[in-house]
Parts: sequence; C-alpha cells; structure tokens
Amino acid sequence: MSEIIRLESITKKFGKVIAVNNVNLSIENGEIHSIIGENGAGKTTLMRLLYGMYKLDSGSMFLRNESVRFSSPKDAIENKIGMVHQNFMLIDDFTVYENVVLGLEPRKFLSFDRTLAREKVRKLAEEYEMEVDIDWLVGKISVGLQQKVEILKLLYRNSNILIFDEPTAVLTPQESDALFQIFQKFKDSEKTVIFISHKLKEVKKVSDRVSIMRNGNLLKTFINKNLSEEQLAEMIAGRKISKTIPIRTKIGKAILKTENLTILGNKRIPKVKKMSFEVKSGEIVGIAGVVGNGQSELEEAISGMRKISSGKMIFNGKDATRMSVRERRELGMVYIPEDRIRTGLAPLASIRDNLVMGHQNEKFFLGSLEFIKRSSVRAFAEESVKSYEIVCKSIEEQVGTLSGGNMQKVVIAREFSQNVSFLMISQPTRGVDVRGIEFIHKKILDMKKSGGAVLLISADLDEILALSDRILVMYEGQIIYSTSIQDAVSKKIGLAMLGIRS
Amino acid sequence: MYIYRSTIVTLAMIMLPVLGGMWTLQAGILNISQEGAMLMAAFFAVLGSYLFSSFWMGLLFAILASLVVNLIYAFFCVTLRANIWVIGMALNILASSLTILLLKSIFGVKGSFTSEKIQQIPIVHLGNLGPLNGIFNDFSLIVWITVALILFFKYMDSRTVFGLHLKAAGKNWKTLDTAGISSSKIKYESILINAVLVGISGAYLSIGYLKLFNKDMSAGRGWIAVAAVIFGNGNFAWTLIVTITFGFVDALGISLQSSGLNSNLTLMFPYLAIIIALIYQGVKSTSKNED
Amino acid sequence: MKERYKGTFIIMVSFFLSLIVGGFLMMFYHVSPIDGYKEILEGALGNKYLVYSTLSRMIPILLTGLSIAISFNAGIWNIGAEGQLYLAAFGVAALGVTFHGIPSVLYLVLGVTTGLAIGGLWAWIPGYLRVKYNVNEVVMTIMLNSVAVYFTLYMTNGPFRTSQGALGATDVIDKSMWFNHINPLSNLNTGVYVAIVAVAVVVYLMLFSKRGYEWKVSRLNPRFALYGGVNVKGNMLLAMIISGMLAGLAGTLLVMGDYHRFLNGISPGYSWTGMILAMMVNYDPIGVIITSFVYAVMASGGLRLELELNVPQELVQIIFVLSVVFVTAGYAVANRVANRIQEEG
Repeated sequence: MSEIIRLESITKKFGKVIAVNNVNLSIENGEIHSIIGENGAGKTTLMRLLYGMYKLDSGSMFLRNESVRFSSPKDAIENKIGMVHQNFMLIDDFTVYENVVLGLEPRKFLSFDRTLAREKVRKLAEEYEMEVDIDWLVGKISVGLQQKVEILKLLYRNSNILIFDEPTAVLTPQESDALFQIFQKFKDSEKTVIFISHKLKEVKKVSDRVSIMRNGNLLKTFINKNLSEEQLAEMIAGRKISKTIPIRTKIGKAILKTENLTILGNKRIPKVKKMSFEVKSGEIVGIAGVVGNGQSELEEAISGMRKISSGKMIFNGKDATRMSVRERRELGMVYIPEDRIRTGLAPLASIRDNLVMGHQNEKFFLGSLEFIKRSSVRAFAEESVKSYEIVCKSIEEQVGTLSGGNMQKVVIAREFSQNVSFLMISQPTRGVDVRGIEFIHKKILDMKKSGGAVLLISADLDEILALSDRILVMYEGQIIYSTSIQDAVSKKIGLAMLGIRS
Repeated sequence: MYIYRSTIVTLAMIMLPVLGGMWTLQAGILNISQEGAMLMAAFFAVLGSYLFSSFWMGLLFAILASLVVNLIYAFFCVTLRANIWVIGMALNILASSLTILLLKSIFGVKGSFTSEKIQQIPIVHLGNLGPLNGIFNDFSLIVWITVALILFFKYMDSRTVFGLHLKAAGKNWKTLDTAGISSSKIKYESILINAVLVGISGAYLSIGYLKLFNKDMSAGRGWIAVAAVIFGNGNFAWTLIVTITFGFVDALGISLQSSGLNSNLTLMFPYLAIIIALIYQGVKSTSKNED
Repeated sequence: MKERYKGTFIIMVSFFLSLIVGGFLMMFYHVSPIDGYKEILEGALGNKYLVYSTLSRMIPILLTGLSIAISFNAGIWNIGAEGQLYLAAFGVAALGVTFHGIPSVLYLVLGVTTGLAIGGLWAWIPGYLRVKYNVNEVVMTIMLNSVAVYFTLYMTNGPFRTSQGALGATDVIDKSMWFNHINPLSNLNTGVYVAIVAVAVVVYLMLFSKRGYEWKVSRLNPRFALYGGVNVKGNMLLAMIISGMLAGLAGTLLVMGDYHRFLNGISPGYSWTGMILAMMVNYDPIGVIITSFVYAVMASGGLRLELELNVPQELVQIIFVLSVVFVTAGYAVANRVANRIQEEG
C-alpha cells in the first residue's frame, strides 16, 4: 500500500487554547484508519484542518507526496477529500438531491439543471443500494437517512478520501452495522476511510490502523490487530479507568410522574404523544432513542422551558404542569441540557454571571429591594472556580473564551451547587472529557445513593445500559418499549429505537 | 385612474429597496441600512445630475453612494459579524447628518436644494396607445426598470444556481461553506445587488419627478421597505402584496386629501396599514406556531 | 489588560479616533482642529450661563439615551423613543392648556405622571406585540413614530392649534404647570430634579438590581436566561415600558420646563442622538451619563463652531456616529473568540 496523506508537525491554536499540537500522521491508500481520543482531544480540529475548514498555524500537509495547502473546503474537495461532519451539513428546507449537488450543480447556461441533477443523484443512490427518495425534504427524513445523504454527497463529488466524524453517535446499533458495511465497500473500491470515534468497540471492529489522540497530541499509531480493547482504553485516558459499578439502592416514592404528556414541537406538530412514566427516588431512568424522536421537546417541557399542551406532570407531590422554570428549580429540579454551550451558558457573559444564573433569587445573593449582593456573588464565583478547577484568568473573563472542558465545568459547578431532588441530564458525555464523564457519572450515582431521582436521556445506548435501573425507548414521541436493566437486551433495544417492536 | 397612477409612482420608490432587501434576506441578512443608503443616493443623484447636467451621472453617483453605505454594512455584518441593528441604525443616522452637512458645505443651503441645472430622469412616452394611454404611458424610466428587475429577480431566485446558493447561504451558511462555496462571498454579492437597486430608488426620489433634495427626504420609505421584507419573510408573493397595498393606501390617502380630509391624517394611513399587516401576520403565525 | 477595563478602553480609543477624523474634517473647512475644538469648549463651558445651557441641553439627550440603553440592554429594540417623546409631550401640553386653577404642586405631579403614562403606554404596544405575537419591534416602533408625529402634527394644526400666530404649536400651558427656571439666563429649570431621580432609578435598576442582571443575560443569550428561570418575556416588556416612560419624561420636561407648550419640531432627533450614545457605551447607564454630557458640550460648542467658523454643526453628530462604528468594530474583534464558540457549538 502507498501513503496517501502525510501530516507533519501540525499545530492549531484558538486564542490561547492549543487544539492540535505538533501532530504527525501518515495515512495509507485504501485503509480504514481510526482516530480515537477523548472529547476535546483535537480529533475534529485535526480533520477540519485536513478538510480546509481551518487554516494551519504551522506544519505541512502532503497529499500523494505532494505538498498541499488548503485555504477552504473547496481546495479539499478538488483534491477528492470529503467529510461527513458530526453535526450534519445539510439544509433542512432543501430536497435530498439539492443537498447532494449543492456546490457542484449541473448547469444549463445560468440555470440550474434540475432534471440532470435528479438523474445523477438517483443513479448514485441505486448504485450504493441506498433507499432514499431524492425529492424529500431533508428535514423530514430520519437521522439515519440524513447520514446517507451526507455519504451521497461524498460519492457525487467522487471523493476517495472519506472522513467520518463520530458518525455512529446518532445511530442505532443496527444502523451502525450498516454503515460499517458501507465502509467495507469503500475499502473494496480502494477509497480511504478516516473514522473518528470515541467508542472502542467500533474502532476495534472496523479499523485497519488506529491513531490515538490526547490533549491535542497524537500519541501513536497502531495496527489494530496488535492491541486489546483495554490497552486502547488506558492509552486514551492516560491511566487506568475505574469502571462504574452499579449500586443497589432502596427505591422510594415517585419524584416525577407524568400522565399522558403531549408536547408540541416548533411547527405546532405534537412531538411527544401521551407519554406516561415515573421516576422514583433512588432510581435512574434512562431514555434511549434516536435523536429527534421528541427527546428535546420532552426535556424542555419537564424543565419548564416549553409548554405542556395536554396531560399532567407531578413533581415532588405537586402539580407542576403549569409551573415556571423558576418554581421547578426551587422545588429541587436540576437540568443539564444537551447543548450546554448554547442553552446552558451565555458565552459573551462573564464566568461570574454564568455561575450565578438560576441562583439569583436565593437569599444568599439577593438583598432587600432586589439589590444583588455583589460580595456574595463574587465569593461564590471564586469558590466555584477554585473547587471545580476552572482554568481562567479571572471570574470576569467571558465564558466563551474558555476551552470546551472548562465551559462544561462552569455548567456543572452551577447546577450542582443547589439542593437537588431530581436531576435531568441529556447526552451527559457529549463534549465532555473522560475526567468530566467520571465526575458526572459519580454525581449521578451519588444522587441515586442519597435518594434523588435521575432522568438520563441519551442517544448512546452503551451509556444508558451502564447507568440506568430502568430503560425506556422513545420512538416518534412515544415509549415504544420499556425494560428493567436486569432484562435488558441491547439488540431488542436497538430494534425498538428503529421503531420495531419485538 | 389617478389613484392607479399615483400608486405606481409610490411603488416605484419602495419596490426597488424591497427587491434588494429580499435578495439580502435570502442570503440571511436583514438589511437595516436601506433608509440611509436611499437618502445618500438621493443626495448624490442631485449632486451628479447638477455637476454634469446629466441624469446618467446622477444615477451613477447615486449607485456609488449606495454602494459605499452597503459595503460598510456588509463589512460589519458579514466579515465582523457585528449586530445588524447597531450598525444599521448608525449608518442611517450618519446618512441623515452627513447629507445635511454636505448640503451646507457644497451648496451652502440649509434643508433643501434645487437647481435648473439638474437633469431629471426621463419619462417614457410610448406613443399613442389609445385607451391604454393612462395605464402604460408617461411613466418614469425607473418604473420600467423596476418591472424588468422584478422579472429578473424572479428568474434568478427560482431558476439559477446563484439563487440556490443564495438560499443555502441564508438557511445554513456553514453547509454552503463546507460544500466549497464561500457563503461570505454570496452574502457580499447579495448586498451589492441591493446597493444598486437602492441607489436607483434614491435617484428616483430626488431626480425622478423632482429636481430637488430635501433633508431627510427618504421619510421612512427605506423602513417601509424593511417592514415589507420582514412581513414577506422570503415569500415573494406576500412581499409584493404588502408593498402594493402600501402604495395603494398611500395613493388613496393623497386622493382623500382633495376631498377635504386633513393631510396629516391621511399621511398616517400607510403607516397604519403596515402596522395592521404586521399585527395580523403576528397573530396568525403565533396561533399556528408555538411561541 | 483586566477584563472589565476592556470595554472602557475600546470606547476611549474609538472616541479619540473619531475626534481625529473630526479634526481632519474641520481642515476641509480651513479650520485648524485645535482652534475648532477650543471653540467648541469655549462655546459650551466658557462661562456659568453657558454651562447651565449645556446642562439643560444635556437632559433630553440623557433621558432618551437611558431610554434606549435600558431597552437595548434587555434585548428589545425600542427605536420608538422619538414617537413616545412626541406623544407624551403633546399629551402633557394638551392637559396644560385644558385645565386651569389646579394647585401648582399637584399640577406638576399630574403633568409628570401623564407624560410617564403616555410614553409607557405607547411603548407597551410594540412591547406587548413582540412578546405575545413576536411582531418585530423595530419596524413596529418606527411605524409608530410616524403615526405619533403625524398625529401631533394634525392636532397642532387642528383641534389644539394655537390662537397666537400660525406656528405649528399648542397654546402656552397653565403657569402652575411650569418648572421654573433656576437661572433667568438659561433654560435650566427645576425639572432637572425629576430627571436626576429618574437617572438614579435607572442606574439602580440596571447596575445594582437582580432585574438588571437578568436583563443583561437575557440580551446575551435569551435561551440561557429562560433555562435559568428568568421570566424573559416579562422582563422584556418591563424594560420596554420603562424605556417609553423615560422618553416620555424627556418630552414632558421639554414642555413643562423649556418651551411651556408643544411645538412640532420639539425634538430635533434627541432619541437618535440618545441611541448613538447608548450604543457607543454598550448600554452602560454611567457611560450614557458621561457621553451625554460630552455630547451636550460638543453640541453647544457646535453651534458656536457654525456661527464663528462656518463649520456645520452636524459635524458633531458625525463624530459620535463614527465612534459607534469604531466601537462596534472593536467589540466585534474583541469578542471574536467567544463568538466562535457560540457559532460552532
């Protein structure tokens, strides 16, 4: 095999944060090369450099032994490099075929030749046996299909270096397997696949070679066969990882109870339909499901950010159906949202202002006449920064200038500083490094031990299986399947996530 | 017939900034600086036409002035990603004081300038059309340019690759960027197209039927255009409908004046029409969408 | 540099830069910048009476500036201060020409209350439509400006037309409604005490109260504020109403203190100036106090500049708009890192 890509001493900084530090990497033609590492290790940044989305600070790139320098994705595309991003790069209001040809449209003079575009995309979909209706709006098809549209985009552009950034994060186990079969097809036709993931099992399963990244450094590249899963895990974290051990606790009375909850989405269509479930004290309930099946609407409604259109929600023995966010918080609800940066923080506000949000009504911070007690706020912020080891210049610094991990810490520091009887946490490990995951998992288990109730919402089935006492599978706004952890079979859950009842 | 003709005259003033605003909105930018660009264009149209006694030079000056305002706006919104309201309002206020300052310094007058040396934009006489005379004849050249531009816009928007890119830039610029097309470039292009259209409308304002520049003579027309664009929210037909309604109400108000109604009251009508339209739209879409 | 001084630094540099540009512009008029700026200072602060005049010029600008600051800072864009000012001023004048024989203290309270109520109400309309029906408040307030201005124009030419001469104005209001002049040689009047109270309330609300904190965070990320339990919409509406009341107060004081009647051109665009100042200091109320003083100085001096050296007074406004442009650019560059994260997620 011959070398197709070589990166030499690549470095990229954002402000003062070094995202990629002096990385050397060689990728061979026709291999499936995995890049694995914690969140924030620099995998995505490295790939975006390769795709021309960011400019190199220093270092050089070679493509088939020729030095290249990309200033925009256009250069990468011209060099037959394609990338499927973690957050899909699709336009919801465009049809499948429009999305596929965007940027390289067939033309008739000035006009966009739709007939030819449809013809080309249809052929391509047939060739790779993808069952996609090319005239559908992308926003209306499932996440699994959307990913296929992304793959069609690469094929349409004749890419032969294909980068996949955490492609399985949003897929069910069955869909992931199908994706890996497509990988094999690419390999058979001598295309190169770069696969980014933090899931060891998958990486073990598909890769020819594996490169490990940690803190912006590329540690080493191994031949997959020569390495065990445990060895891999230790190298990623840089130390031994203690597995979370499930603990038994006494399960008490219901903290959260919903009856026939119906919630409308942004387009006034019901996204959650008549959902009834309970979360009891001392219990962790996991909600599994493919992204976009009503989980976000459910979270928002339980937290009070979205209106419940019908049904009832009882929280700590009180009817909370119409309660405001503030009332729910004061009753001991903590919510750590999926999008911690856009929902859980105000990046342009100071660390101090971010830490105090949600606490501003507490006596400790609020004097008479609604005066804010500045000294209390300051003391609290300084204390949080110290005890959570938030790396910053001062509490006046804008949160948005911190590194991703430190931003997460601000959210966690704030949310766990109040009395909690119920914790709702969405996609807990997304964007969090291993230490953060350990910390969050420990907090979740502590909650459980002290008799709190936890609602865990995740698209990552492994995480659900590792923590939950009970598992509910959400599909198109309904609980399609539920099981206790003792009886859980991952294959059955995976099928339920696809809407197939067994 | 009188109302029809005066509707057309009003429409020609606001239709171009509406079209321009639709271009930029397609690309994801609400253009707040329309009022300022229009005012600057109106002033420079007078200046150009006065200096060279040629309406062509007036048009050219107007377009250049509008280009400058729009380029600043584009630089702040697209390149620096600054808040559009802040920079838009700043440019509008700047245009107001700058034109007064230039009026004083170049022509030595306060408030208003007119001269016989200014050449008007010509009126198109199509010959005798019989019964159609009132409908088609003797409109300003700009009216016909506007009609042509509406058709051109419709074609560009729905049929061409550029139109597709424009919409992609507006709906999800990151996707367009990763597809290898610079969304910033598309956004700049849309703003520059807008600049030309607003430039023409500014010229029409001052040298279309008049030979005159008044301070603050755009009198909120740029804002009416912004309102129509917000109302239409990318929908071509709705935008046109609200624009035409505005023109009609405006003409109606003027004709009611001759039947004895106080002119200050009738001047309020078009603004009230826009207010009612916006409220109607808000109430309607809130009952359809979750707030 | 310490974080909290970053903003001040950007503003100072921007203002200095625009003064330099202003200096160059003066040279177009064959005036040396040093002479020009000296003339401005003398024209505004040369003697005690000039200082009084400058202060009295500052009040409407300060109030409209705070009006804009309080709404913009809360993430709701009240561009309608001009209309609120006009309508409140007219309402107060209408009251003052209609009723007579009310004791002065009562009449003053009544007048101020009326002005505050009208301003607040005229701002409540677009505020309510925004939070309830998501109607764009910028366009709405601009349309309401036109309606207010044409309405008062109609009234002064119709039902409330003055009997003394043909100027577009109302009659003079009842004397017991006047805020008396502090000094006979300037317009400065006892209305200034009302303004001072209003300024104190705004400073407390924006800088020291819980509400102010919630306003600021709601502007920076409304979704985050909602998540944190803030009543974002209620706060927005409140900010809008207070904003309207401040603009209304500006109009009220102009009628009760300065002109003692309503006239058509009662505001030469105070709210636009106020907007420039509020935007220049990033909606900081202390900043508005300082810049409105600086502006009043330059505007007073600008008159002298035009009279003595033939430099148009609009130059002053242009200098300040340029400051806003520079400040905006400065913040855009300074916030780039924080913005990047918000965009990429």
